[in-house]
Amino acid sequence: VTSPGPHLVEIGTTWWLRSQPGHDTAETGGFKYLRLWLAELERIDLDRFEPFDALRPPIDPPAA
Amino acid sequence: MTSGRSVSELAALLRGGECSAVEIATSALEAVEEAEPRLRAFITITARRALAQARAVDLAIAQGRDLGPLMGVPWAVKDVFATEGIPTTGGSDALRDHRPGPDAEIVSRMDRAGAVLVGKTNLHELGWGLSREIGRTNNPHDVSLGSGGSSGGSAAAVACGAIPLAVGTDGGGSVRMPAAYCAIVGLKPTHGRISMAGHLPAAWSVGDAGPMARSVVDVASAFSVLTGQRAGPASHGRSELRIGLVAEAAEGASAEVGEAYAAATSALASSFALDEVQLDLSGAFSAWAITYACELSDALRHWLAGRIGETSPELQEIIAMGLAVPAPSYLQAQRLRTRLFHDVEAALRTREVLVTPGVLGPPPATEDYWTDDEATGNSWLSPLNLTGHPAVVLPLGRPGSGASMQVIGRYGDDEGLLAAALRIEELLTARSQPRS
Repeated sequence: VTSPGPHLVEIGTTWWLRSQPGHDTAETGGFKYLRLWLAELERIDLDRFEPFDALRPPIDPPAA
Repeated sequence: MTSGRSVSELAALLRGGECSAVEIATSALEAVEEAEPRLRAFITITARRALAQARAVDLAIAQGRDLGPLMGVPWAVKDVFATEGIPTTGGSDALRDHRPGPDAEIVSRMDRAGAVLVGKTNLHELGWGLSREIGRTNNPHDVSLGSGGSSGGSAAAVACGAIPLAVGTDGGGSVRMPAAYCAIVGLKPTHGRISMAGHLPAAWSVGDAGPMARSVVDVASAFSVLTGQRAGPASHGRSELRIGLVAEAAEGASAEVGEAYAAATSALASSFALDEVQLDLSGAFSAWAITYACELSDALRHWLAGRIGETSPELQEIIAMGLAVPAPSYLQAQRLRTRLFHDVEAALRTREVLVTPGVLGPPPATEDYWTDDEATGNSWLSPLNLTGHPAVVLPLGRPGSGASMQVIGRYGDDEGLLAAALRIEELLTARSQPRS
């Protein structure tokens, strides 16, 4: 069976390239929202925050 | 015999010698079978395993051994946790016969505590898509509506009364949303409090296992077992409870949800120290969605290689979306996560808990993805998957209306959150009783 993984990589990266100015895209479904999410984050000034500061290690205790 | 009974009621029946664990398990299995044609809450019913476990519990009782508060209690687990010899499908047509190996850590813990596993519950495919073969779980309060997701099967199995307890997972509201839609209690613990060992690949930094039941005390009993403790949650006494009401969190709510939430917060104001807290939600859903898509894509695209064509279009789309996110945008999402984490921490420095609505409207009639409400809406569920804070949803008002309250606790203090939620539940239950 041929892995469709590379096919999805192509979909993803092609979408990104086509979403750049000068390309006409008519996204549907989730991709339409992905464009909104990316644009919203770009508008927020977050430079003073460290990217991974909120991540904490698991605190699950060992098995009893 | 078991229908609608709580964990403590079943434990009392068992300890009082009024029935055996086998009788309780048999009754629960019958209730599940009866509800199943209406609800589709289960993917696999584990009758043989349940009866074997129940016989072991009866033997333990005969030998004078007490296994704890969940001894003989029927429960179900979302079909994303491994169970020895039983398929773990993730709700995916691509994984119909997937048998990943020994029991997941939480399944082992429940087993050692004497809980009796009656089945593995339905879900959105691997937390996101929709299996065409298995189909959605219907809402027990109105089967024309959905139960929400992705832990919809766990929520429906508890809400219909067949079993008192189930475990789901919550990577973006997936325990709390169906709990709200099905009018039960659901906990998303602090990130990492409950072991995810033996879970199928998923978005790892936002997802956690969480118990679902019809009361806070039953959720607390399960939480203590799931975290490997033998004792119940520590009592936090009756000290002052300072509650922060998150401003504008009910904006966009349906009339019924808004009215129920306003009545509940008025009741809280009469008994506890309540003040309003401003939190900046801008960008939070976007940051969560980008994080979730990237992690799910990374977790699944190689693992599912060769089988992706058998998965739903929704799942394939989110995998492709994760691949389309530029690295700087992913980092920007993580910066927003840091800001939100510190904002919530600051709000909880002078308050024990914060409250918001659970969901803002009624359960969905269809399983359509990507409505504007979901993709851009004012939700306080997924932001807590970003920050990792514990949160529990309590039902309000008419069952099945979606009316609910989310109570958010301090990072790592799930016991304190559950103690506060218990007091809130007691107050709201007392207020809803008819006056004689």
